[in-house]
Amino acid sequence: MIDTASRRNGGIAVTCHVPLRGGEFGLALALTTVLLVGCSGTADGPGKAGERDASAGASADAGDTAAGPSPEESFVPDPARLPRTGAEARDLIDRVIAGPDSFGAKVVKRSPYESDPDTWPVLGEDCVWQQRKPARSVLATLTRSFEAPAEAGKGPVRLAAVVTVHRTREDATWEMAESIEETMRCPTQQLRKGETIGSMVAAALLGGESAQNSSEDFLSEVGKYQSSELGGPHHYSWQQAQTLQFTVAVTGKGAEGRTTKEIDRFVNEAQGVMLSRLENAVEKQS
Amino acid sequence: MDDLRPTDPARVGGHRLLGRLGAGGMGVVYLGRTDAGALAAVKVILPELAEDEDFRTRFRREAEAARRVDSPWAVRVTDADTESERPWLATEFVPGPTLSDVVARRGPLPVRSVAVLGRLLSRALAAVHGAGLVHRDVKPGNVLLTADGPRLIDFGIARAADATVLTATGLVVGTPGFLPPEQASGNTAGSAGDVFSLGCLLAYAATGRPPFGSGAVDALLYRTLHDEPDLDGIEEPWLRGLLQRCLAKEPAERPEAAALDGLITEDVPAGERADWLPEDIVRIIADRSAALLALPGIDATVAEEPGPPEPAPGRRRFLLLTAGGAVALGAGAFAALRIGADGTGGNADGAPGGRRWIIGVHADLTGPQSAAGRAQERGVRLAVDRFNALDDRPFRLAVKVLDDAGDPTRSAQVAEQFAGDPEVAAVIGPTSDVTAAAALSRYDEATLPVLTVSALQIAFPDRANASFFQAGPSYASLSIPIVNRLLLRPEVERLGILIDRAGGQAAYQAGYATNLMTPNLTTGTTHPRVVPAGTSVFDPVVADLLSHRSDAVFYAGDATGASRVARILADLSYTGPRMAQHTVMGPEFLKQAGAAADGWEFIAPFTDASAPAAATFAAAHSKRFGAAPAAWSAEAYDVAGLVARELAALADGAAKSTKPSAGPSGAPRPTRPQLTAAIAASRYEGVSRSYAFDEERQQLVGQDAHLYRVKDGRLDYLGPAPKPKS
Repeated sequence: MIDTASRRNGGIAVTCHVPLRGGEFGLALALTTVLLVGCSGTADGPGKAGERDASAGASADAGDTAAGPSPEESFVPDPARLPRTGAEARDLIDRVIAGPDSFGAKVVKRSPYESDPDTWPVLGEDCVWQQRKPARSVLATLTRSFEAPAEAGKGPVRLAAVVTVHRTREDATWEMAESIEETMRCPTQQLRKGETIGSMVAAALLGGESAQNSSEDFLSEVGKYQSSELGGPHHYSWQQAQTLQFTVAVTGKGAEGRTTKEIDRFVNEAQGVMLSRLENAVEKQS
Repeated sequence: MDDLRPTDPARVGGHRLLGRLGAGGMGVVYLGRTDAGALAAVKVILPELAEDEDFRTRFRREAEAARRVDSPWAVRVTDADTESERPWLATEFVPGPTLSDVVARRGPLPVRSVAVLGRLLSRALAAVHGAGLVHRDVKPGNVLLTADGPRLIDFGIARAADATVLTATGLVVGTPGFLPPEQASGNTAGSAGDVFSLGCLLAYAATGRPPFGSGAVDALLYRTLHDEPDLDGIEEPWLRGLLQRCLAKEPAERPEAAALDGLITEDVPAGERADWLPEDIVRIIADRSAALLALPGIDATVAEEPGPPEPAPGRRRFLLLTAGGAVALGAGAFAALRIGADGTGGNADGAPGGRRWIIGVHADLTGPQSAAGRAQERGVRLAVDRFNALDDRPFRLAVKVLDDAGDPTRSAQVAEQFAGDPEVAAVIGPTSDVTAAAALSRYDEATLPVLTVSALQIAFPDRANASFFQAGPSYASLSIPIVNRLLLRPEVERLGILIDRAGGQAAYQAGYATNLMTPNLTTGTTHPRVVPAGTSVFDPVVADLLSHRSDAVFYAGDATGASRVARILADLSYTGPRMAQHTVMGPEFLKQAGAAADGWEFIAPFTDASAPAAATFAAAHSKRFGAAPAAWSAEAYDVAGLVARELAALADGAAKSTKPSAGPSGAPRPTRPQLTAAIAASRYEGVSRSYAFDEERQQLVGQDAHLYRVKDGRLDYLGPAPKPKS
């Protein structure tokens, strides 16, 4: 292998702290940012997600966020309430998955609203997303599509929520591993024809890391969204969390006139709602 | 016993010193011989403690009281000098094993032995209490066994400085598991507390288990306060009843030590007869005594000498590098803390060279990263020694060490304590990412400069006062030499990257950054794979890496996963470059991987004792500590040196700008914000690397790192990590 330093802008000093040149600057900066956003988004936890902005939340440390009982500490699942069949899994998904009222602002259903339950998205070797048959470990999965309608000076925000029930917790942890692989493997991805996301960086926090106490594992990814319909690049934000045999995820795609903070708030809010519903649905009732 | 070092005195008081029994928070314990020929354990107090008037007053009072303790079952104080520049205290030397050594080796004692032990130790305690002392650390490690009976050692002298643990709620004096509830809740225990501890000790002797269990300190203290003792296995009703009385939660309900004697009916052993202990224990005692006395410089005749005390193996509290060493270091921390807290006025004028500053060491001394924490403490101590040896130093430096045990809550408390001590100029630490994140805001509020060398997370939350310096290369910086080393060679086109989430945030960040940097620094590509924490079967993922033509492999995870991957690659006769994250380095990986570890490389943030640039440092370290420096010691030495230099420059500047009439002591003291600014602007050539900080985030600038490779089951230092071609 050869050193490309001399061929790229006359030398690269790529770290998070030294001045960077060209594209790498944005890349490394984004990594720093997403690590902090990741911390803050999760430290907020379900139900509080929308109340705090990302940059303020980033300065919170373990001590400061220990004000209330954390979900992790008080959450005890009831084995009898964990789904074992496809029907039980679909029933649970219906009770957990976000609806239009889960985003903390005016959001409507898009059409088609719900995905075909026999498919889920898979990122191919070519970094193009395709609808495929779910893996054998999946008991049930559902994706819903939403939109925050355009307002004066602001384009429509496309949002999606996904809940997947695996047969075992281990299967769910492998889905999380694959999600990380996807962002490492494909920093640029084609969502569908005319829609790409790029410059992707992802942070991953296991439960207990950086005050992440909303789930066993939490991924947070940001990047740039480009659409033939909505233009761009706009902010792209994605979160996925795993608890027990479940994964829940939300994506938000920016548009003209929408701030990064605005998009992150939609995503945080719906993710918090789903995680809290999930705990209610499976926790031991006293 | 260790040999004397060149810096050790040849004589102390009337004792010729023969060797070192141990060293710890209060000072060094030597084996000495009096001119009359008797052996003695001679404890020489650390100079920084000796300079503390409060400490000396207490030491004087307690040494005096200890000389009045008169019992054949308590080790006798034979001599002391509380007024010399280096105060010392000598006791009889007892060449026997401790009760904890014996129980650990052979299990519980028979009831009859427990009864004799209880009876004789209660007499020893009665003598201690009669002299107006409270022992406060009665435990199996402080009882020596000899053929004619037990000996209680180490009573009551300067206890607060010598046996403390930091818990979630504060400092506790004594040894958890043997502490009375009143002491466990942070209060001072009186003589009834010693009776409770004796009850714990006897239950331990009878069952082999401490009656409130073992494990995490806070849980242990909680059980001591709230749970009934575990006396399962003690069948004799009288012994059970007696222990229950000793272990009453309410101090007033416990019998007095003097009364305890009469409550136990077993006879005391007569004369030298060894029949109070079973035959096998007598043999352990004989072996141990013989081993202790078969030391150079000790004549065989001493075995017959009457009057004993203070054997090396029993004095674990003083041994720096044994398992118990952490306690000793923690104790040193507390001693230094006191100086910091009370010594502000008194020391300032008396100390040669003017006023004093403290450099804090915020470290994990007893938790998962204790090896790194302890190495850093030593590095700082060496840097401070070096500074204090300078002729023209404008002030004297002292070291104060606080242990956070790797726990974020305790880390925040440690930061609080350092922040509140006005003598502390700067802090070196914390040791880990997690403890650094937890302590940050406390340090920042106080604008107290804090320099970590081993918290390497890519980003920490923003701070208002920017007093936090990441003085080690972050995982992102380290990824650059990793990529250069693995890919800048003709035979490598593709790097297989495996993130094992068992390695937590460190593994994620290292693997992720390496993946990100590869296409930026080279024409190569990657094949990234991720496995969940808890993965034990790596064959499929390794096969996948190889089937995607990975010419080199980088593993980011833990030692267990790395060794599994190493074994699989070895079985497949894979010979390409293979590297694991530096967190994997260490005996666990070498042992688990065996021969498969050979050829694995590491890019590490720390240098090695064998590095040419570290030669002088390593020699000084060996001289002072009797061992080569461990990983992270040189880096802590570097940053402490940096802080000392900047502080001295500020003090000099302040002194020069002051009117001559103000005199040297009238110069204003540099403030913490001034020191923060000076550190931020500094450039420093250290043993491990050059130090300079990025203006915006106070992160280390540059990618200096170090390359290691496993050869024949050992880690070889290969030199500085390769830098990108310019």
